[in-house]
Amino acid sequence: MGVGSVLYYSFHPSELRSILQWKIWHNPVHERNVKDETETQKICFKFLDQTSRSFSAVIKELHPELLLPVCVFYLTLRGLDTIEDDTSIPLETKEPLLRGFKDIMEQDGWTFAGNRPEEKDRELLVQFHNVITEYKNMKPAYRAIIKDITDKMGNGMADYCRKAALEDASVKTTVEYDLYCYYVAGLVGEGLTRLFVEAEFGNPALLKRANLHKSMGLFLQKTNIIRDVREDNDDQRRFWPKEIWSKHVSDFDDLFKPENQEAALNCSSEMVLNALEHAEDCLFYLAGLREQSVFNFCAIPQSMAIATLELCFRNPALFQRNIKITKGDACSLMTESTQNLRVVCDVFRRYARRIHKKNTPKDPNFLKISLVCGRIEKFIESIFPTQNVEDAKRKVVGELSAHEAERARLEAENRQDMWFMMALMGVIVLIVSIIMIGSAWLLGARFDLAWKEMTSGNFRPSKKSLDHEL
Amino acid sequence: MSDKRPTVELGTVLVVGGCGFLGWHIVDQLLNFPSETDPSVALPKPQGDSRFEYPQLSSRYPRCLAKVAVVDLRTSNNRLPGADYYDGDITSTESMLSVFRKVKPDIVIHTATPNVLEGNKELLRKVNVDGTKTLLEVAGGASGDWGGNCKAFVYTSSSSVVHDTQSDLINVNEEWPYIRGKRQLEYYSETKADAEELVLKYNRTSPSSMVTCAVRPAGIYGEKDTTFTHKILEHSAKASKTVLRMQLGDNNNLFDFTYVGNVAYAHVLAAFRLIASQARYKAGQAGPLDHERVDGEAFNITNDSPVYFWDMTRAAWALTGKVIEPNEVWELPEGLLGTIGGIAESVMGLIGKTPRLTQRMVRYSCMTRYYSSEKAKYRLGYDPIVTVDEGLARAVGYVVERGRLESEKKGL
Repeated sequence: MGVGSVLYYSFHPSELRSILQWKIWHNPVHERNVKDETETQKICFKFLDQTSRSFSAVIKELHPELLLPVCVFYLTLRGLDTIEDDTSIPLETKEPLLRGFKDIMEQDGWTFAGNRPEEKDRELLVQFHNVITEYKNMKPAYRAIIKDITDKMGNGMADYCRKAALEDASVKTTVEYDLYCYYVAGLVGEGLTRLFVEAEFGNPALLKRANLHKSMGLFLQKTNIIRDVREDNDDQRRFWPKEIWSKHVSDFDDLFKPENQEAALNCSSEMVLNALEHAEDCLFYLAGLREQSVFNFCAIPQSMAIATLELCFRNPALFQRNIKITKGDACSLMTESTQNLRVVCDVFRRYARRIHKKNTPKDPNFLKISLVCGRIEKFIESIFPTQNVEDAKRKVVGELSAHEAERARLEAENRQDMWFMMALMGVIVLIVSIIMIGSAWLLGARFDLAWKEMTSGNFRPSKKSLDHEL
Repeated sequence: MSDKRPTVELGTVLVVGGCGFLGWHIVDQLLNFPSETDPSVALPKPQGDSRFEYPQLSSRYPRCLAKVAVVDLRTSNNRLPGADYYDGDITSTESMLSVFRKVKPDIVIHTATPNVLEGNKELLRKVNVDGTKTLLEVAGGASGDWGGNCKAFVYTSSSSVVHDTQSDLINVNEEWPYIRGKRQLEYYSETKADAEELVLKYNRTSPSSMVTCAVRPAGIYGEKDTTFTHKILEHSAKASKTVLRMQLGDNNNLFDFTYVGNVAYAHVLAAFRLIASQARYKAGQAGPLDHERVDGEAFNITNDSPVYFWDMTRAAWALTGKVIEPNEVWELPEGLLGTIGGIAESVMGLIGKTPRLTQRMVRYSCMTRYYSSEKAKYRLGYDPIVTVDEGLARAVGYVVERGRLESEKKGL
């Protein structure tokens, strides 16, 4: 820990507390059994650590049944992504690789060394045969799911690369934006949901309501796209749909100019609004999970996402640099996301209210943002109602609910305590007065004279007598 | 798109109180929005301002096939071409019978009520309870033959029938009990509850076996509204910026505001479902299942999207060019203001006046008050078609443009 962080945490002790709380008190639901792992499994987990910053920890705590399938699923998609991202690979090579990746998964010993040296996950593909070995060891049902998603995503990416090479692939409408996010994240949500349901860790209804798992992916992806706007633009990538930004600026680069700050903020808040539309679905989805480690795995990124949206909302720094939530906040969010749905709902409500507090009427989407926050709160109420009919009916007939009766009892007790204390004090005052007056009398105080003076109206010692003494 | 919207066939509809705020919107909807095609009855709307641009209503609400008649105490204002207008008094059986003889309605939509703010207790009871009873009996054929058979009766109730004006209501449904007697501090709500109960109990018991239901709108607003939009814009027009910066409570309290067109839509749907149920009963078919029943039932109607109370008012002010930013707000705690309001009320009460700030107002702006409209969504197929923000732009746009036209007239 550097001097900077020592200073920071001495002024933010609550954050330090959250970090310690997470580090000390968090017990993984399941732990990897490292000593029974095969060599290829170990290599897969090593790649998981190397390629993913945020997901590796939660994946490694998953139920043993899903630990390897999710790990292999993640690495497969990461492999696809590494091919897609590499601009040094010509389209003629890239397209068949992406489209045929589902079959590559079946080829023992397949590796790929065609990435440029600076591609950060190059090594994963160089040693991809390890992933393939583990893929082939999996239950056929899991394998079929991973293969299907790999197929859909590979083709989606190939379509996108083809479009980018031959024409303009920039995101124009919000429909295209949703479609893009669906290919890069919504499909992952679909694959994971199918794995959860197959393992009987999720309610099968999650598969029937496709919009739920789609929203899970879109909410995360849209949050990343909002947060990374500066970094992406510096790398010549633009994911914000023109349909939205063109309402606020005429050229995308104008968003980053200080003189356009107001327009840029309004634009980013419209993007946040667009992302928040998925929040209700995400909570609904989480309600369908039946296993703690799977719940944690899904809930942590969602909580981080709504906190990140709150951080980005009406924050000019978004357009200047990379912003992220503090480590303390991240740790307390992780603690809260590994309990139950109710606690996660509290997180969502807390951040919805913070967004609402920063919302300003000069923003053209002011009321819409307020409405989406209100809808999140209302949705939470529909899962965990604060009021119920029985209490309302009891109130009308004058009966008290159990909760109110308890409160009334406590109040009565408090009142009783207070009377007792006052009586006690009265008794003490009385005793002290008796002692004081009694000892004065014993020492010869003339109360009869004092009383006579007082009855004749002389409440103070007379001035004359004082002068005389002087 | 407009060809896909459903058609609703209703026969002859009598809108009681059809020249009032809600009544006018119901008539407009039943007539497929003459306000959007006939310039003589068009609603004032600011031109060339994108904030006040919104799609037409006629392309979104269902197409109605109905012959429309209106009865109201006075029918000189708020008329729409295409409807027949009759002067009548719902507290008089003779007056109503003569209207029914002429109109011979299949459906009655009863929206008439005295103005809450000026209504005295006697008038409220006479119109809301006695008037509703008279109307029910005339429509149901219990007061004599008028030459026809009314099949369905839709009553405009109020979401306030389950509210004591003080408590928070959080996502409350129709199972909540009526609040009456000494717990009900608003006499208007008490009379609405009594009338609603009359209407629902009258279901299928009249000589003509008329079916009934009640619609309970929550926080209704829109073009021509004389309460919410009118009041908050009047306030912002008069008050200084300093006053506008004051906020009672923490503004985390969600409140239902429902666009009047959606409320009108709920009435149309209720009428449509009722006549379908009535036809089933009449044909001797099995009635609807309990969880699908519409007749004899009350329905909360909201925009299904509650708003933080002060956000709604600030959004309205912002549309008139008065922006209060979050960092300019002075948050005043409810406890303090409630006391001040109470003192002001007692002092002003001595000279027989009501102060601008009352305890009731303080509580209202600090309370959470929103309802669940799941029942209406499920049983009526209701959906709030116009969103809260579009509704507000419509309501404020109407006031702004009308004000501009009036000052233009004065200028000339």
